[in-house]
This record gives sequence, structure tokens and C-alpha cells, in this order.
Amino acid sequence: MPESRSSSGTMNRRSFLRKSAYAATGMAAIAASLAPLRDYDDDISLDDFLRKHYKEIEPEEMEVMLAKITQEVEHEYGVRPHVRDLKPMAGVEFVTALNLTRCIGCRKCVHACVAENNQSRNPEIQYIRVLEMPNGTFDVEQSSHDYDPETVPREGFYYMPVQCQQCRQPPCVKVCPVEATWQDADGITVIDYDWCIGCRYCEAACPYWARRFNFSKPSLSAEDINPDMAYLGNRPRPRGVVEKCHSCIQRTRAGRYPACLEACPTGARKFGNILDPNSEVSQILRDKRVFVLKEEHGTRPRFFYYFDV
Amino acid sequence: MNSGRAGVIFVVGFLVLAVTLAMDWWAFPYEISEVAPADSSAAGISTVRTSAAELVRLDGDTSMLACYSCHEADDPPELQLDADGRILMEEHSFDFELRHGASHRNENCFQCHEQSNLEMLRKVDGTLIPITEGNVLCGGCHGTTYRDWESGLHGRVSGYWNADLGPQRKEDCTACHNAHSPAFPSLKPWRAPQPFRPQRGEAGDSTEVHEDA
Repeated sequence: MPESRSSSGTMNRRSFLRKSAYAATGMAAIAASLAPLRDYDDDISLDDFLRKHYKEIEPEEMEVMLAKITQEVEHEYGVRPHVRDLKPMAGVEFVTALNLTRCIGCRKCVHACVAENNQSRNPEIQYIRVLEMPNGTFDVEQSSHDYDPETVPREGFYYMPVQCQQCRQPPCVKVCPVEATWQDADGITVIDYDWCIGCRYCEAACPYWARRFNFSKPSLSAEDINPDMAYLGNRPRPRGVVEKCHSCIQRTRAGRYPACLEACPTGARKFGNILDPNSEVSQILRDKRVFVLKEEHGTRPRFFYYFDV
Repeated sequence: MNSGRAGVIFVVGFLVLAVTLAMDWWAFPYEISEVAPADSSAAGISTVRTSAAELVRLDGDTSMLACYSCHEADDPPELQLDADGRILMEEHSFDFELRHGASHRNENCFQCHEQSNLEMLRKVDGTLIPITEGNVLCGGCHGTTYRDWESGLHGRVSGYWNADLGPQRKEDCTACHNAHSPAFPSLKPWRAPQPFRPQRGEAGDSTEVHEDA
């Protein structure tokens, strides 16, 4: 009757060995599937874990956090940064205007932005994508962003740089499940990299393809680091968070022009306070025939394109 | 026995799964293409050329502005014209293209330079201005562009958008345009972005990405 005994659940030598083999194989499979966690070296302290949402952080708590970021950046890159938490200025709403007649598609703004904003160099993260568009169409499906001729502009094409449009109705903010991204009073949609959970909903929601995800820890060398940093701006990002153009808040909230504007060799980019009637952008919106990208989405961008002569 | 065979299949299945996960064959092998090092030359406010005013400000080589190191002061030069009435430039040792205006409309030296004093510019109304103050001369013909430039709509600015917090720097016309051939030059484009999707590689290992990064 040995068979009936084993089938009724009593352990014999054979069934013990078989079950042990199953169990060992199962454990090995689980261990192997968890192997990526061994690479997880992000050091999260209890303070980080229990921290509050950005909007609830008291000024003195922010001082502590800025000191901690300073220390971490200095430890990791050997460069002592100047990290600030810059708030929106009263009576300021930022607007960007871009003259497509002037843009020659040289991508200088793209690389100036990378140098300014401490993006990962490899995998490469860039906030600006310059589209080479055939003359006579606004169909971005016909554009290319990896054009590489000897010189630009090429005959028969115009060039349209696309980056975060700083929408008044930002879909990315609407979909964020944890409120890690929001629109500030000066019109800049910002991200708190420490609050982002990396779900990438915002990236999917953005019709301008403006958001970028850090699939791996950003690779930056000490000489790449721009030490002028802002908390919601260009401080080095951790792995697994989303980032995007924040209109250089480390510059613009201190009164300076963004890096892409200063780098542009043709002066195609204009930036300023739309609430000031004498600013460049106010004059452009008054005098030039501006348009916004993908108007039909109802995102109401603060980024205006125009042609002039 | 049926249950025995099922058990063997189960074990083999688990083993395959375990090996797959351990060797990271789960994802297809891919490589992130190499990128050239970041080019920090893109940042900054350097212009495509240096205007005369900037050359003087920076104490640069102004020998090109010293017309009377070659020309005789009391001997105004005469224009040498060819059969089509276009200026022959051979006499000038420095080499430049004269290409100002459609249909060669503004290719006469003395529409901008003063014939009797080559180091001065001559506005349309006849006033003489030094060569370092050329912006207003350009504005004599390009009025709407000059208006836009004055208010910051045309041309390059840098520094502060907010005048209360710091100065704004505005570039001269000739920091971007060569007055003799004003069309903006073609430039070599900066590097194209890394390919958007990872390239399917032959022997690539996805874990390498994390190590490089």
C-alpha cells in the first residue's frame, strides 16, 4: 500500500525530495527575479521618507534640506554648489516667444541647456528638440529631429525648437497622482524631484513630448556640473524621476535670461514678463502674428511662435 | 506516471525561468549608442563675429579700421567699376564679399563710408558718425528692424530681463551681420540627439547601461 500512503499526503523519501526540488527551484527563481534590487543603492534616510510636500515645507526646514543637497552634491561630484529655493516674483508671469524666421536649426540652444541644467550626459537627456520641418507645412509628422547636414539652414526647410510650453492648462499636472508637479504663480510648471514617484503619467499626457525620464542615475562629471542650482530647477536628479524644461528658474527667478536665449546665435528666442507691457514678449504678442503649437488640445501654452520679416 | 511527468516539466520550467532571470535575458539585449562628450562651447553669449565697437571695447586688433595706414589722407579714393557698373574690389588687400541688398542695390562703398574721411560712416542725411556707432546707420534704411532692435525684439540680448536686478547687454548689428554681406551665415549644426529608442544590439547587455551611467 505504499502508493496509497504517498497519495494520501504522508511524506516518503521520494515525495520529500521532489517537493524540496520544487521549493529550491522556486526560491532560486524568486531570488533571481529580485536581483535588480541588489543594485538599488539610493540612500534614503528616515528624514527623506517622512518629509512633507514642497508646499508645506517651512522656510527653516528648507534651509536644512538645501544644506543637505549642497553636502550631497559636493560629496558626489566634488563641486560645492550654490543651491537656492527661488520663489516666483510678485507680478511676474513668464512667456517665451520664438521667431521661426530667425531660427536656423543649429541646436546651440539644446546644448547650452544641457550645460546649464545638469542633465544626464549618457543616457542623454535634452529638454529642447529642434524639428526640421519642410517648408509649407505645420505637420510635425513630416519633421525630423536627427538631421545632420554640413551646414544649416537647409534649403526648403524651417526649424522649430520644441520644449516645455509652460501651459496654462497643463495636462501633465492634471494627471500627476501625487502632486509632484504643479504650476507656480509665475507660470512655470515645476517638479519636485523628491516627491515624484516615476509613474511617467505626465510624460504620456504631454502633447509636446517635453518630459524626460531618468531611466538610470544621471551621468555627470565634476566639470559638467553647473554649481548655480535651484531646488525646483537644475539640482542633480535621482534615478527614476521625470524632469523637463523649467525655464531655467535658477536664472529667471533671479532676473536673468534663460540659457537657451543667451546662447541662440540669431536671437530667435525672446523671454520676459507678459504682465509688463513694455517687455519684449508683450510687444511681440501685440505686434506679431503669434501662434501656439497644437492649439486644438486646449493646453493654452505660454510659448509662442511667430514669423516676421 | 502522469503526475511524475508533470512534476519534471514543472521543475524544468522553473529552472528555465530562473536561468532567464538570472542571466537577464528577460529584456532583449540592447545598447545605448555612444555619445560624444558634452560640448560646453554651446553655452555662452559669443556672437558669430565681432563688431567694430566690440573690437575697440576689447582692445583688439583695430588695424583694419585704420584706413589711413594705406590710403592717403588728402587723396579720396575713386571707385573702379567694371563694364556692368559693379565695383572692382581688387585694390583692397583684405578679402571680402560685397553682397548687400537684393539685385546689388547697396554695393557702393560711399553709400555708407565717407569718401573724404574713410574712418567715418555717412548717414543718409549726410551726418558723419564714427565706425563704432554703426547701428544708427543701418537703421537709416532698415527702420522697422532698427525699431525692433531698440526694443529688444530683433537681435541678441543677454544678462537680465529684469532691469531692476541687473543690466541687459544688447549686441550691435555687426556682431551678427557683416555689413558688407549682411545675410546671416550658415552654421555647422551641433550634434544630433542620441537615438531615441535603444538600438537592438548583437551582444549588448542591458546591465552595462547602469554601470556606465
